[in-house]
Amino acid sequence: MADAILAAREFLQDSGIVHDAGELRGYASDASFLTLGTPSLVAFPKDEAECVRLVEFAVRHRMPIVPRATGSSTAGASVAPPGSILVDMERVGACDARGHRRGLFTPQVVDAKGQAVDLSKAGVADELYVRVGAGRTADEMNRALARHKWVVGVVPSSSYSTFGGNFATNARGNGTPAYGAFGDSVNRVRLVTSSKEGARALEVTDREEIRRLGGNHGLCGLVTELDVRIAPILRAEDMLCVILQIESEDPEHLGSVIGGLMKRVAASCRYFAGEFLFIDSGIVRPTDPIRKDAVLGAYFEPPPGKRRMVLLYRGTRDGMAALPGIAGEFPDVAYREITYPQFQAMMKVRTAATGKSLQRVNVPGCEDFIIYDPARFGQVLVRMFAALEGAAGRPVGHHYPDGIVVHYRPQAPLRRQAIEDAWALNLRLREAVLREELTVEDRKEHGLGLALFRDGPKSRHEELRALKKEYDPANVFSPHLLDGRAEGAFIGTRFVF
Amino acid sequence: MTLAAPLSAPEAFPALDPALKILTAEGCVQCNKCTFSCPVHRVDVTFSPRKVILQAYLGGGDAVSERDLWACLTCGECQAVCPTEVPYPAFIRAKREQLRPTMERAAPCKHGGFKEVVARIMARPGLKQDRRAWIGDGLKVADKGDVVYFTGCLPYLDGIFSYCDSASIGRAAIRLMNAAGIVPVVADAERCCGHDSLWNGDAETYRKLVEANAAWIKKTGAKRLVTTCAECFSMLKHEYPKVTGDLGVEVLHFSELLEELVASGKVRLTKPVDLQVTYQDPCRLGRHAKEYDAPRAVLKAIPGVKFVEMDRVRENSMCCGVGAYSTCDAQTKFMQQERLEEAASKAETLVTACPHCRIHFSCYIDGRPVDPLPELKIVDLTVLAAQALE
Amino acid sequence: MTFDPAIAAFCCNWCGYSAADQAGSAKLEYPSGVRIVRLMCTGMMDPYYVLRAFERGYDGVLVVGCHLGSCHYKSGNEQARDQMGRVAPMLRALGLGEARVHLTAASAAEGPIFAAETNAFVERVRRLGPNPLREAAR
Repeated sequence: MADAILAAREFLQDSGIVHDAGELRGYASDASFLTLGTPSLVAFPKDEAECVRLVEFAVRHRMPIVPRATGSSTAGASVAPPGSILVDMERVGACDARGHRRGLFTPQVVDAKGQAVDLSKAGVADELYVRVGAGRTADEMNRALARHKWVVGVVPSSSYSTFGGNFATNARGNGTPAYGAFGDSVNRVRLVTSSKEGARALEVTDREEIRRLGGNHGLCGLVTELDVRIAPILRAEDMLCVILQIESEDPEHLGSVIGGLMKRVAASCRYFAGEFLFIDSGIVRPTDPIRKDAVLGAYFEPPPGKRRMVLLYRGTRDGMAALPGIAGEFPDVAYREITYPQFQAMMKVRTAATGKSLQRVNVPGCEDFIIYDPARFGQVLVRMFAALEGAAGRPVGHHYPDGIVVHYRPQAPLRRQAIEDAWALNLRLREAVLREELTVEDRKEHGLGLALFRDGPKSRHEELRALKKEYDPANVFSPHLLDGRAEGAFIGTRFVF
Repeated sequence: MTLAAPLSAPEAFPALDPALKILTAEGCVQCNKCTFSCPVHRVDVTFSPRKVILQAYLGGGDAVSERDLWACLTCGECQAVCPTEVPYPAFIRAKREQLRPTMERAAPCKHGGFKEVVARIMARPGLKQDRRAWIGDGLKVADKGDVVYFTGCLPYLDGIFSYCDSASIGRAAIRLMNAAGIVPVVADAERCCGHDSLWNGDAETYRKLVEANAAWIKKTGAKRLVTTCAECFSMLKHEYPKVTGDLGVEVLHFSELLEELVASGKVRLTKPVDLQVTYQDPCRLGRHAKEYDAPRAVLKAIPGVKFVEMDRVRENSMCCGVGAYSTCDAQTKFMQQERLEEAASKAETLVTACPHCRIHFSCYIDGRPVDPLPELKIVDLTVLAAQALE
Repeated sequence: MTFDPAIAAFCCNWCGYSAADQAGSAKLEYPSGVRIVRLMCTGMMDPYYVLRAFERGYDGVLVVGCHLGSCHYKSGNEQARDQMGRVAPMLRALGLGEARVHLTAASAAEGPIFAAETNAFVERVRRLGPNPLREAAR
């Protein structure tokens, strides 16, 4: 195996592809903190041509390739077993002629047919996309689009993840109620796949096929370019941001009230984002300036013994015209209009809540279970909080038009036993909550990955095997994910102090 | 049913070295947002703060490579975007202090370490400097008074960076103060503020400089201390109190004093300076000390100046490419090209509020830019304001 | 009271160093406190070397190069002149004084000139007294 790695290194040196070799501890894991060992080779291609050369080499020499971007996924699919080439896609389509990744760029805007469009002359109802390299992130793109007052349509809460990564995980996020999951918001994809002899560069424009490919976790090829849907930033007078609050000692009551409200909202309103979080006294630091905010500060002082949930909506005034009335019919719910910056500040707290930890790791947990019938939310919450008794970490979630999605990740100190306990908690939680009679389903959109694949639905395995056969007949892309034998260890076992 | 209280700091791991304690007290979640905002990563893709942190967690004390240790600008862009506010620059600073004794060569200053030598010389007691010769004629300074002008490296910078005339910044500052009726104290007892010593891990020299400076500052009996350098400012205002307690003076950056003098009418800026300018927020004045507004107020008060902001300003401002004179390397040129292209797209004049930003940018322009760069002049804020004095 | 100044003498390979060599083989005396450092060209002189010498406790720095117009590398000695000009204000500011540094020229055959210049410089430094930093360190 060492010979194969040596040959790969020589190849990378000869072809001028930026790479790094040695004991690459920084790449031993992704946000799942699962590991298959320390990789010894990572390549950083900058465009499609380099990806083609890489894949050709991999096919000829039968070396597996594991695609990776920022590694912010909790699925563990960008973790490379020894003997494979880790391919970091962050530079693809994001470099200048000299090969330097530049943060400043002018976005290329196209319409649904791929024709160039001048964004400064576009109308707010136009269906527009940015033609972008897979290495770009929503953060960068939003910064580039800001002056025209447009944003990326679907932005996952890890907005520093790349578009290639968003497509690979079929991420959902801010904007999903309007534009769907990430795979739904892409109009065109270029990817470098394999054939029995070498590499193929493909362009896919059929929307159904693109949806099929979304969420493949790098099993099908290296995505190099995408046309990603963008949306106009609403003007202040058109936009409505709302914060709803409810608190109770009884989670069932809390859940059933909010669930009832959500059911009504889904039926009568159209919105871009519906996000919720549970607030306790430790969710932000004592010194955090948000505590002193004249409007938002009050939300961070929940009375002891009560659970407080906060639900945020953002959309057009027209689309959400019915919302104040609906909220008014629930006496336990406090309704307030807030500004967009205030909405963003609360969202920041919510994002940090999914990952904030004092010397802890987030063990992959219940990422994406969906409750189809919001009226069941109360029952789900009772079981959830019972299973979570005394555990750290905070559930957050989305209100999507088709249901309520909840995220929870158990947190563990950096010790093997603690991590195993956290994993056990995860399993208890899933046992308690993932039940058909509660209309709960495990969506698995944050995906496969090592340990989670074992528990995934058989139907999903079938879909992915079919995709692999079609796109990757040479089976070079992350073969370890589908052969079911790879057992990942938690990287926490490797910590040395 | 109870909710878990926030978990407390790690007592379970007493063996953590001080640098690692800084990191783990906050809890990096490996989201990679730091790497994405890092200016060094943009031009050197193998440089990643996230990776350094993970390697530190996995490998313990010695796992930071020399390259990773000295390429960091300590500009703080990573900390500004981090969801858990991991203080990465403080971590690098602590690591440099820890690893310095084992390194063959100290901070790899590309000017042979001259600034370091000067700082070490100034840390010696009994030094008898002449720190006024550079001032020249026609300007008034004193031995005692209410306002101390802390000059920093001004007497020394032009010895190496001769194409910059940094001393003109000090002369402009004194001229403006004199016009407002202030005769500032310029003390021969002054030493280097210790910024580079602190950030390059030379704790001993830093401590000596702090003690020497605190001694003479307290003896002047002055009420205010002003400096034209962003680094001296961040040191004297935010770092010195951690070592010596309250210095007993109000510490101001010159832009803050000038804003006050203009607003109160003590200084009148009446001669038009017809220029379109843009402004570089220095890392040490901006992200480190949170002063974004005073320099902008000064620019708006200068008649004839048309001020256009760059896209990346205030807490998003991009570093001039060199931190504490120890990070200048191959990647620096590309970072400077990126930032100066952005500036040149807004104006023909880039205004800085730190003499070191000015030196680093001027060094790049004076040398050989790696790509075509439109005509751009680098001007200090104080010098520009003094041009508007009648 | 007299003291024996410690002098760092940076001499260029082609002129100054050869002159020093010649002085030595002709048994022309110059004080033993003079440490000779061979550079390929005085154009290499950097304010850093001067400052570092003073930090290490030397009382004076002498730079001996080729005569103007005769530099082996064409204009290195002119660069040295510029550099030494730039270091003078720094030494003044530090309280060391520019008199402790001297730039001079002696070609390969000018052993006697090397000895004379060196002796004169040592005398000058002796009259200036020891490096104040040296005192301070004690």
